[in-house]
Amino acid sequence: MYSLNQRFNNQDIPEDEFMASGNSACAGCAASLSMGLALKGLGKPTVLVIPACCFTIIPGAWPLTALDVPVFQAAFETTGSTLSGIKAAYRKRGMDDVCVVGWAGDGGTFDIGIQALSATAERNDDVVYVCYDNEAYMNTGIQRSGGTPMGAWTTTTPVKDPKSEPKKDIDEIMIAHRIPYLATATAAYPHDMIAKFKKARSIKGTRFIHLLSACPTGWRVPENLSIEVMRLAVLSNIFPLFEVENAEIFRQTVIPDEVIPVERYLRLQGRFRHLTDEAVKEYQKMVDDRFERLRKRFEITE
Amino acid sequence: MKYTDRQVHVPLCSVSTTSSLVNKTGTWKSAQPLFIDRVSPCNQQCPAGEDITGYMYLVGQGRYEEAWRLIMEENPFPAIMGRVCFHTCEERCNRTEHDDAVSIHMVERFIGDYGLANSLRITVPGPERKERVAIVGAGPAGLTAAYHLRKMGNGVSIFDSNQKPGGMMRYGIPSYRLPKEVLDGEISRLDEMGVEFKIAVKVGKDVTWDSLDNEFEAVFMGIGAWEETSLGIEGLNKKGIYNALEFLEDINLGKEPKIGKRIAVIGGGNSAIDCARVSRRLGAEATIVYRRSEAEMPAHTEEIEMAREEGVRFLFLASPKAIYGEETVAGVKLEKMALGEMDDSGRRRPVPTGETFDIDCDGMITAIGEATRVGDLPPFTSHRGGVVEADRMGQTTHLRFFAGGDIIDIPHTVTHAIGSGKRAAVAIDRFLRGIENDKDSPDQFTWGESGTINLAWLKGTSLFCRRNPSLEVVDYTDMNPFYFDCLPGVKTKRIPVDERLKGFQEVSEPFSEEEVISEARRCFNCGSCTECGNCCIFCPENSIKRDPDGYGYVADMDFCKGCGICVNECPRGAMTMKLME
Ligand SMILES: Cc1cc2nc3c(=O)[nH]c(=O)nc-3n(C[C@H](O)[C@H](O)[C@H](O)COP(=O)(O)OP(=O)(O)OC[C@H]3O[C@@H](n4cnc5c(N)ncnc54)[C@H](O)[C@@H]3O)c2cc1C
Repeated sequence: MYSLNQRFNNQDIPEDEFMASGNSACAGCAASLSMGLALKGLGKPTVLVIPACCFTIIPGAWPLTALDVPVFQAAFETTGSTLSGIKAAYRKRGMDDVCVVGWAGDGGTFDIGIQALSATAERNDDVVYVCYDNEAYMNTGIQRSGGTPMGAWTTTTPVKDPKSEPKKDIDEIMIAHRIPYLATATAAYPHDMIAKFKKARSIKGTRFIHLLSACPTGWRVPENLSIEVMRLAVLSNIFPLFEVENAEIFRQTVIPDEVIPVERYLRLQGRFRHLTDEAVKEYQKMVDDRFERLRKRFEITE
Repeated sequence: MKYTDRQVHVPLCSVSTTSSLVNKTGTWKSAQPLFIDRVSPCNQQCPAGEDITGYMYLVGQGRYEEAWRLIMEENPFPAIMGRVCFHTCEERCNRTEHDDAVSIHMVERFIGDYGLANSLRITVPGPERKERVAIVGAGPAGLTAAYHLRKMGNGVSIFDSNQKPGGMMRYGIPSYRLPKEVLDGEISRLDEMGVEFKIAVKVGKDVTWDSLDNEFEAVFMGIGAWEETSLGIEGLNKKGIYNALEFLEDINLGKEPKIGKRIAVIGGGNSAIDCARVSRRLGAEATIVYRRSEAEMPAHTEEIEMAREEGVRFLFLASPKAIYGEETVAGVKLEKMALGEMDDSGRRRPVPTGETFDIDCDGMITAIGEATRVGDLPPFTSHRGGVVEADRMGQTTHLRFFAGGDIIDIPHTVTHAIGSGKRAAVAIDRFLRGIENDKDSPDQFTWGESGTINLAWLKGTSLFCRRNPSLEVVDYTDMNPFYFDCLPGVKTKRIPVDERLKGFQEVSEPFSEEEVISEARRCFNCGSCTECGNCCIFCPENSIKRDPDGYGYVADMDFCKGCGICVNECPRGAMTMKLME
């Protein structure tokens, strides 16, 4: 059979399903979709550690769960250390092949959980840490986080005073820890994403996966466009898809046929509606500069 | 797995143990996704009502026989059609906005040739009913009507005044565009289906129209347009002057018309082009003289292009005034024309300038248009200047008589003739069964303004599964172009010009199997589900599943929250959102 959508061969997507219907995410939530795809890549046996974030509630309030893998609910700032502890416990029980995976939002990663995460990475503990980045504290009502991009509206950075600082570069922070594997991914490119989770599972040490995860509610985009907006983030180089091994080998895994202007990404979203044309131009320059820094490293490996 | 889930479990104080499936999130939605099958612009455009997106899907998977059968549901002549149809479908192809149109006609030609090479057959039981239908004229319109009526279980007799069936396809179109083996091969299938051929019988002369009216339950007329329009100047009886139909008929009968070495062909339509191209093959120089400019030429652009390649010259904005020469034509006096206002056909009208000039020639062919011979029409059907009055389905004012092809008010092409024959067959079948026209009538169920009918769609029995047909047409904005890589189309190859001029060998070369498959796979299959899986992969609710009972997918409304991602990510516009009450 040939690929009937001509770009992706969807026959390659594993049939396994570890996330059931009936979850409590908002309509169009990319996080719930991302979890389903991530677990297709990871497979079993896998244990999740989830701190305070949207995903505390998405699988369902007690006694419900949409997840077909065990979940440990951790305190906001403790994902990293909980992962280390749980992994140690499995090792002690001779079950070293259980994959222990943290699943935290940008608030719990960029801001509140960064100390524990950094310590885990410094010890190179054998865990996977996933940050599904929806670029604000969405669960508590769209408050600004370190992951919120410059210029974005949130409830704490109102339109007359939008966020003036650029997004914290969590990828560079984690690369600086020289961990064995780091990848960016998004559910708009499911094949790429699943492949990265498969690869992460096969590697030992601390692995960090940074997911861009659209939040229609907080980004002010129509629910049906959450895949579209993530795709535009990739096509405009705002969120390039790449992987880094041992802080040395940089590889861009999805290379857009044609790079589109960031304007198309920004203008689709209500949270950027107030940006002037001038501001969009600056934004373009910021994105170009960052991508250029990355691209140089992609080249070195070739 | 090595461990039981219990072993892997972490001991906790409170543990969730119930599946979220009890939480019916479907109640949240205000709109729901629907799988629908929309009409692609090519299908809407096809005057013969073919299911192009359907057979492209089958060909892409190498399912040639099924593809052939899908075409045969609509059109009995895929090998002919792939060659002579002007493929307006390709002009409407949504892929033109992406990269290049799909080369639909070359895929169709491949499938038609596959059917001939493998002697594929349509089997039909003997006539079920005693009612019989007479078909007058074995051109594409009559043959198609006969084919469909026979498939619907009716007895059919077909009368033609010529020695062989085929009409203009045999006596007009030269064999470098339509080889006679292809024509014979496709027509012979009708023989095998039990259509009775009464050849060399001219209705109105050898048998009367009245006797058909009495002996048959219904009559279909498709006698075509065989009268060459006269130039209306003097001297047309000189030697070396032909009209296009006589000339091409001689050629197609293998005779060698006595024509000179420098030929002026008057006219700008397809028959003018064919006459000029034939003249080149007879070793003559040929100049087409047309009273408007190239932009107004009714001939198909590809035909004009091929004529140019073969060395045909064009003289625009010139109209014959007089013919020189004693017995034999020796030149033409032409008047220079200018372009004026738009006329009824939407083209700029030629206006005489009074200025004249002469050209040399020793042969001339007039090809300024063909019309129906009014004297050949039955006395009891009403017509206007040879154009028979008929309703959308082809029924004439004399209710037992139906008409199609070049004698009714539709464009003069083989494809339109085929479409009209099919429409009339549906109407005749319903007439014989005494079914009144109502809101369920087939003419309510047509693709597009041209009123073409797709029978498989009508019956709901297409080989390409369509579960929820709608008449909406899909345009490029309904697609998600991201899912289609840009791939340039395969170009048609033609044999070298010196080869062409040696004889009547077919000019355009067939596609190889690989090329056909690659073209078929380039098709967007606009508006139809091809089971690509996007809806299911991108559903955040995990609520879209493969349809356990067959084709495609189903959305579980118990859990669908109505986000609409599936609709946005459907590459081909085969889904829609419906607001709920
Ligand atoms: C030179 C030329 C080239 C063309 N090229 C193309 C092309 O490339 N593509 C395209 O789509 N179209 C082309 N056309 C147009 C196309 O051939 C016609 O539109 C089409 O054949 C019309 O089909 P029909 O069934 O109405 O009539 P016809 O094909 O004209 O058939 C009518 C039949 O009726 C028979 N007949 C007539 N009177 C009687 C009678 N009284 N009793 C019994 N039988 C009778 C005739 O013998 C004939 O067989 C071309 C036309 C010409 C002249």
